[in-house]
Amino acid sequence: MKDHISMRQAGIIALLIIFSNKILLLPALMHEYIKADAIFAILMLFAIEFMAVPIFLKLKRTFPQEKLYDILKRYITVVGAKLLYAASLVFMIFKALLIFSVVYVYLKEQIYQNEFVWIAIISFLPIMNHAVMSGLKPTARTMELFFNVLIAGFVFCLVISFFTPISTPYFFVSSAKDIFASIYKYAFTFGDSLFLFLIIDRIDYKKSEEKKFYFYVAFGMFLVVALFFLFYCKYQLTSFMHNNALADLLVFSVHFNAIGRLDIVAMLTIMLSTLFQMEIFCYGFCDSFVNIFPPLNKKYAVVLFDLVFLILYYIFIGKYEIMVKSTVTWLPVLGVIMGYVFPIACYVFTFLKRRQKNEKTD
Amino acid sequence: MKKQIKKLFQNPMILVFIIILIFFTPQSLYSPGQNREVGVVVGIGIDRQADEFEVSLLTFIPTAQQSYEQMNSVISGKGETVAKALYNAQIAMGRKVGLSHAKTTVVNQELLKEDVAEYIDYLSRVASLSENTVFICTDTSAKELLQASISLESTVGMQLEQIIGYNAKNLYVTDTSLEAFYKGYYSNAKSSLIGFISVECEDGSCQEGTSSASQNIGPTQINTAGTGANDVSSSGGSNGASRSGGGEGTSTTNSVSGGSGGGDSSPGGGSESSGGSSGGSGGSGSGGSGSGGSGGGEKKILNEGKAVLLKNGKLMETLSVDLLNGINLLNIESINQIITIEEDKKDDRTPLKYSYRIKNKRISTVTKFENGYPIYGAQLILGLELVEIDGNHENLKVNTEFSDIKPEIRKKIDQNLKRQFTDAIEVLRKNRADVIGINEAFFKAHRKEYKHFLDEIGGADKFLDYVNFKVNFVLESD
Repeated sequence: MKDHISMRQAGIIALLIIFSNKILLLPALMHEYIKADAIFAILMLFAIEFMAVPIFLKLKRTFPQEKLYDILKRYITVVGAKLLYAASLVFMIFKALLIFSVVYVYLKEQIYQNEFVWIAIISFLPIMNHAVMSGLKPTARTMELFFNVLIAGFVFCLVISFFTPISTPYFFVSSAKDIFASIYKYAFTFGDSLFLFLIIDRIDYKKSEEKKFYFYVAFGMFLVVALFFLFYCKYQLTSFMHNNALADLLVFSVHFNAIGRLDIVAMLTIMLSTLFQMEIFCYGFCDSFVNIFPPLNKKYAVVLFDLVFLILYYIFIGKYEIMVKSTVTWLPVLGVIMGYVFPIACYVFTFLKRRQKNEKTD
Repeated sequence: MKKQIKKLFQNPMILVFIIILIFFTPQSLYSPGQNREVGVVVGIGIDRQADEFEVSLLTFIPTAQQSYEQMNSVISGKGETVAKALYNAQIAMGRKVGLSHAKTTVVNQELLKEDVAEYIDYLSRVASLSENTVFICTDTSAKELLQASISLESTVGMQLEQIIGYNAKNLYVTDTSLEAFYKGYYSNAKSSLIGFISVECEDGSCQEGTSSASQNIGPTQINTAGTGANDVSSSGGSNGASRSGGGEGTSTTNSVSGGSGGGDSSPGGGSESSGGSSGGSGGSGSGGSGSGGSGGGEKKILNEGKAVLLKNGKLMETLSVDLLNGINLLNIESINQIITIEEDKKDDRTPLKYSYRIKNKRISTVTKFENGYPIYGAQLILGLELVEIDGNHENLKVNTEFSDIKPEIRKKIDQNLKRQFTDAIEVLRKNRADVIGINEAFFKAHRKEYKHFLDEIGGADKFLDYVNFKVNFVLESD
């Protein structure tokens, strides 16, 4: 029970991964493609993601103590399970890279430095590594401690936008085809519920706390939709020019920057959520690695994560534009598999288990 | 003790923390203050003359002395592109350019002959120029305006963006930031409105153009003028340096001016300068002024409340206060406008001039398509306050608390307002610029018919020509 977390903590983790990669660049990217109709795409993507929650809870009820790896092994063989974990490994590292790339560009603008990538990496990597080595429980507990501060910062940024002229953006300007295409195009920035499946055996499930779990997920989604909506209301046609949605809600709120320094609130909120999200994805990567190579422990996984992270960032990806472009070109395939296909497969597993149970009783 | 240290080192995070301290503490202690490396730019000006650009930076240099002192300087650089000019300005400044705090961006009219977004784009996307910077145009040179703004700040504590901020709130009734420009630029009508401020010489002797830097005296010219204003310019190529002194500021009626002379003059082109307020209907004011260093005479910032109409990022027309008032008639937030009318001549008595202030405004609008044509109907209920009666009847001058509007006056005000509105629409139609959101209103209310209509007429540009305006004024005494 040492590494087990409560349903509340699981809910907080779910909320944090809902925020991931959606609060800075995504609103501008989606606006460039489908204008303010991005709100509809977001609602549909969240609807799909929300459907993963009952599947996850059902899987937990069906296999209360079993690890995801054991469940997968039973239904899709060891090779299948390992392949899925390998896909999860890639998914997690790219998620962490995307968050880091986007936040790094934001911080570079804010802190006024041209190049400080080493400082950023040194600030993030040790904390992520430490979180993984400490285990899920202390990490989730830290998130729980800072949760209220983070939410207060997020809500503050949203509320401040009401102090400037806002008007409803124009909807239905994009074709239905484009809106549906965007569901695939931006799939990689969604589908984060995979992490919950990875830690399914480490959640102390209580049926009475299911509502709490649903609340956190719904609350996270509501905040992201509110951010998109207010961002589009505020910037309208020029939304595509503003790459840091949450921070930009604050920066232009007061005429002529009279109290422009309020952007520190956004910066702290973004820093906190980024740190936690990076910890989550680093944990996801390490967990997947340990399941693929059982003889190797978390230490190896952490070292590998750091190496792969640095190599990919510098050699393969290096540039922010390439990273962002990858998320809408080939990474959506991974997003669809891990975010949409995988929860459906899990639902099938619960169905198969029930059938097996029925067969036994018959 | 040994045990405790051993225990301490068992925690890997402490080790990491110590390593970070070892690596970064000496570096942090060694590295100079950021203001030595980065020049905080509070205003940026871009001038264009022929094929050359000049970027002027109004920089803020905090100096730590016994008392806090703020030094502002205008530093400029020239180049074939904006990026090159900015790079040269950076060399002249001896620091990296930090544009995040730039509150004002000034461009000269020459630059607006072409799509200004192309030039501004580099600054906002690459050089981190904030989009909430106030975006204004000047008829002389942006550099001169920035220079003049230094003494304005040091003498009356007023910043350039505050002057234009007043205009934005009371005359344009729209934001005049770079963000607002982009919003208009990317709209259907591709038109926007930005503020306009000019620089004039008190004695009319100062030369205009792209100011001091065009002399090409040397790579770095330093020229102190006004109250603590430095002018450093880099034009690349030649050698040598010069420094010249400036004078103390003086103040004149209705204007505050700083230093005069001391600058290097420049060849100039023609420019428009201004008078005071307008007569007839609608009011206007001349605002604060300041002076900079270059040129032969004392330079003042002249704010007449004008604005510049842009279409596709190009300058189409400079709008007077009257035209702006006409444009803003349909804007609920535009109040306090003064309407002056003159009564008909009766007997031998000199006709009186009545000045009314629009105290409040209620607007109901309707958009529809009739016989396939767009109709924009608006009813404006204006609460008018009589603020002055100018004439021989001195007793009437104080009658500002209670007033009634005579039918004859009411008719004249109605005519006046309708003329104002018609003039404004005419200008907008002529320039195919819709800054009052007529396109948006129809798009919102009748999207299908609007799009169909645009297909018929060939685009949103011509839409305003076909709109039939039915504006009705209900005048109430307040």
